[in-house]
Amino acid sequence: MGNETVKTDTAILEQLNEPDAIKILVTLDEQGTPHPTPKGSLHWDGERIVSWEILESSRTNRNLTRAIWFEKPIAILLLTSKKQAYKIAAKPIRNVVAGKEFTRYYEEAQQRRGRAIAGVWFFEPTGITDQTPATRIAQEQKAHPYFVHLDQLAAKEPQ
Amino acid sequence: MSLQRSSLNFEEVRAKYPDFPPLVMLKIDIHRRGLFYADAALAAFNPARHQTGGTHTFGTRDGKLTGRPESIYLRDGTLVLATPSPPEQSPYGIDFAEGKLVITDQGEIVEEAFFWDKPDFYDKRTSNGVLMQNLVSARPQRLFVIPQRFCYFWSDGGGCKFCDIVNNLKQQRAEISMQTKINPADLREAISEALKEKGRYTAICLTGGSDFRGDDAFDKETEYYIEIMQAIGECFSVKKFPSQLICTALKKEQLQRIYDQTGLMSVTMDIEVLDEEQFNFICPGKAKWIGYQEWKRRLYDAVEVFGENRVNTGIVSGTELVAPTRFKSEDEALEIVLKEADDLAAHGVSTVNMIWQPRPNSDFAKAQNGSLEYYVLLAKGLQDIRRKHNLSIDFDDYRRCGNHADSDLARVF
Ligand code: SF4
Repeated sequence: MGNETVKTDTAILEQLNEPDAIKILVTLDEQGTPHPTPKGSLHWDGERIVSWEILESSRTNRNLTRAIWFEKPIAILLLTSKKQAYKIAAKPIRNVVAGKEFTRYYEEAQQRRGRAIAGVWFFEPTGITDQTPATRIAQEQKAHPYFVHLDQLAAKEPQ
Repeated sequence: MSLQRSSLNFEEVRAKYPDFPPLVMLKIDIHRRGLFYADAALAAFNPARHQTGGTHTFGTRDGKLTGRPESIYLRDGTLVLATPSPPEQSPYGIDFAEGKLVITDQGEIVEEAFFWDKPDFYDKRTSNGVLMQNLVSARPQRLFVIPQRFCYFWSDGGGCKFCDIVNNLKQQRAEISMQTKINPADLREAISEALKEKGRYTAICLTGGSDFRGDDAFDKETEYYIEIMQAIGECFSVKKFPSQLICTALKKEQLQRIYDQTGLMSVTMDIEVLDEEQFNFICPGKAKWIGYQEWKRRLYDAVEVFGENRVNTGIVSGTELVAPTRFKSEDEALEIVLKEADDLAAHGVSTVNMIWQPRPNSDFAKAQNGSLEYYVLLAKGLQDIRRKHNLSIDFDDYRRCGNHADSDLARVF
């Protein structure tokens, strides 16, 4: 209760494209241990979430491969420049490592970051949750009015 | 007595092995059963944009060489390397439905598929007028050079029984003016042109038929590969570049010459069958000119020349089950094959498997390959052996090659 998840919200997904947004991609390893990593390339292309992978042998790339093979979820923590925070749950739907589509991203990455990329991941968002602290506090206070220290509610004594 | 095989279908094997990636399992099943292109898929195929088949070492499963897609890949980047099979062999279908290319089984859509994009250099010609795709062929991320398309074991009555290389060459010569041997200068031009395509290739692989001629057996093969690799090396700014030579089991001195004089980084010497008795039966030329135990010893020598994680051997898995096989069951074959692979790995040699795809112009044209369960266990077993011995297979993995389900599994480790 309280922390509502919406399936998709384009206005939120578009904030992945803000230059100042901080984006953390969380994947699961073989043992199920979460592996967070900053992923500046994450963006919304209007239909899918897209990220570039620079290191083919990275833990994230291996975890994403495991995720597409075994339908494991991934999550993105998005921190916007307006101090909003969102958890975007998603599933990888495609890994492009060759072909003209790959070349397009490869050239774009070289132009923008001066780096060659190893692959491109496409994700389908499955749920977005507002994790902004102020929003969360208000939601939880409403949902769980008992979860409070009484001194916070005490009447102020006259000065 | 017929050999005992697993009779489980795809869904049953998938349910039995939930830790095996279904997309790799699908690839295995397509490799063993084959595929055919439905009319709608062929209508979606655009030869100006997509890669057409015909230039590879071995022929197709239905005997037709040209005019069809080279192959497909899957949504996780897994390559499928299968040529069209006759419909009566109940292969998987490649169709166009719901606005996309799909894989079908008995008419049901089971997965999405993608054609390979055509390399930019394919229609270009060298200054000598040679069509570049006849000098270098491509997989989605690998350049493939076959400098010598004739195998001298065939002239000696010793061709491998699953192989159609020389018959395929005859067909290629007749239908696409393929040359038996290539000129290094032409090759240099073609490779230079190929490298202009940004982000397309991650490796170069050379292979060809065996050539036992020379003062010492296989000196001709050795010299020719040096000449070819040196021509390729001129296209690079570094001395060593990601490259793989699939050759006969050459002697250590021959391998050392290749290593010292070229940019080659890794070597594969395909033993084809991991059992001495079956090897002698299936690969009589290899048995006569080198022998099973000597082949293994030369693989160990190769590790000393090329270093760890740079040497492997390939097996055409399923051929060991063809009568008159000494194996009574797939289980028995699996046990022996994996034991041999473990022995090789203990010496630093990795084993990769090619799922045998019976071809009409080979001795084994009518024989039956292994069950899906057999191939799943073999792929898993080979990758488990690599993990046990801490061997990497970067140079022959899902991307640098794409022909081995077992090394596809290495993607997540
Ligand atoms: S060595 Fe065997 S598999 Fe290789 S080309 Fe010759 S006959 Fe074919």
